[in-house]
Amino acid sequence: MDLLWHYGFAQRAIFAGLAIGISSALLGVFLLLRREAMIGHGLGHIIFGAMAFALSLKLAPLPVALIVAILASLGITKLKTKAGVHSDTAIAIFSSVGMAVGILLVTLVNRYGIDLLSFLFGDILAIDREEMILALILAGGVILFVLFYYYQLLFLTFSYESAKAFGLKVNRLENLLTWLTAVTIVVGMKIVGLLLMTSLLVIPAAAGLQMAGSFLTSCLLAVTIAVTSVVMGLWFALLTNLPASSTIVLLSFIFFLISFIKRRRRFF
Amino acid sequence: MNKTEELITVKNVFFSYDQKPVLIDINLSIWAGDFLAILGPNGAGKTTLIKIILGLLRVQRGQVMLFNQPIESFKDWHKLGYVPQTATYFDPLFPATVQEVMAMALFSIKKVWIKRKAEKEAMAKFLELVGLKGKEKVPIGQLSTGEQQKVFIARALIHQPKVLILDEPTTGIDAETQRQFYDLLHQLNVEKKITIIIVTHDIGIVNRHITRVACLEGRLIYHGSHDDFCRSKVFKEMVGRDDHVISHQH
Ligand SMILES: Nc1ncnc2c1ncn2[C@@H]1O[C@H](COP(=O)(O)OP(=O)(O)O)[C@@H](O)[C@H]1O
Ligand SMILES: [Mg+2]
Repeated sequence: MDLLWHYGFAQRAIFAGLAIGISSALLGVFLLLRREAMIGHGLGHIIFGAMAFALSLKLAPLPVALIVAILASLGITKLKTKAGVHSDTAIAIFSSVGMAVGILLVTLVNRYGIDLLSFLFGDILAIDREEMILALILAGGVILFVLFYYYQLLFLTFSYESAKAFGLKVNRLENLLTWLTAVTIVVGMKIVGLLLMTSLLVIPAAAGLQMAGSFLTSCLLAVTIAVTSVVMGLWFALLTNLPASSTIVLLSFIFFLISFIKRRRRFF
Repeated sequence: MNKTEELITVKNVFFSYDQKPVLIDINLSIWAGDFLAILGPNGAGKTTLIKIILGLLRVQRGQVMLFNQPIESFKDWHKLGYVPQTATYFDPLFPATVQEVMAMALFSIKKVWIKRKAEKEAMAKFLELVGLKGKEKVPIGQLSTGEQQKVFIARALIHQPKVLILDEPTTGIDAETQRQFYDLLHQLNVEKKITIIIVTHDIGIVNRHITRVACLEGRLIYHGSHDDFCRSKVFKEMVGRDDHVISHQH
């Protein structure tokens, strides 16, 4: 474990990884229960297109991606609430279009020889100081948001309609949740790549939900699993020289399998 | 409580989904202390009317007044308690305990842990009232449909509403539990002076408790006191025409 503290890049990887892991796990619990598991992939694809677009025009990728992600999540919400399209359908439509635009732009961009693969797979071991600080600020924001709106988010997730009938400002809260998710995915993608980002959004939360007997324990378990996967995954990657994104994702998947088996055992 | 206080007024309300009219010229007054049953076949617009009163659907034509305020500017939603239609509306795998479901009503609390004694006591008190003491830590999905419904009633009672609105709360619940359930509503109506609006098909069971009846079929085909209703043509037609008004389970 000393390995983790020995190098500056490893420390940055740990802090940024934990920050993004914790934010994703918390948001993931709400996304999964709202049947929006695919939002990470959907937005990821769109953001991928946006970043390609920004690079091809020599714009800063992060702000462009942020604007596009927020517009896209607004679009998904509108399609869902106004046109009565199921949220997974809305997400699928947006992500396909985003991917199409992405591929189109990648082809154009590649004439300039820009490397887009890093956005797909990322490199958590090559994070600089600014990126780490950005990740920590993001995590702070997400944690405060969830703590502050805990019961409101729980009510909204459990039943939109009842929450509204009880006088909760559901639309405002739903928009806040969607925007924060979009920002998290953009920042996470820039820092750790699309693969790791979308996995962290879904797998720890899914494992937490499998094992928990209450909502609070779901959140706590999801966060614990994310934290353990990030720390152990990084350590293992450094030890073996394997890609860190893969080891973290696979480790969280092992936790998911354990939770899955544990749950099924209760029934058989 | 002043018996002449008018809590809810529905005036000349029309409503249509897309082009299809569902509610036509509805006029309805709900007075403090009423136990109002809204009857009518499936698709009659009962749920739509309830959703309009709760502000879930916007009034298209006509006017709704809640506690003497136009619904558009009404803010005191805690005065209305809502128990939604059974079962279909939440995921049975949702990992929320009874206590967490109750705490949803306290959403204005901006902390994960409820510290205030008054709120904890209110939750315990209303759970006990509906007969679910000791089930605080049980996941809601593991309760029977009847018990789940009682949790939703308890949740609706936390803010001590003046009006409790229930939409077919007993669908899928056995007759004995239904009876207990209506006795509980009666107790709330008589002892706690809570005005009750209930959409139901169980006219046979609820008969003993209700004070007023509204019959919907797109239009309001009957609105009046329960005793008059029993002597009315509409009632005889309903009972004569079909058993679905009495026992239909949807
Ligand atoms: N969201 C909706 N969009 C379109 N039509 C609807 C919608 N909700 C209900 N309806 C239609 O409106 C009519 C009244 O529905 P509803 O108020 O649910 O009746 P009830 O509760 O009396 O069974 C039905 O014919 C139903 O098909
Ligand atoms: Mg209905």
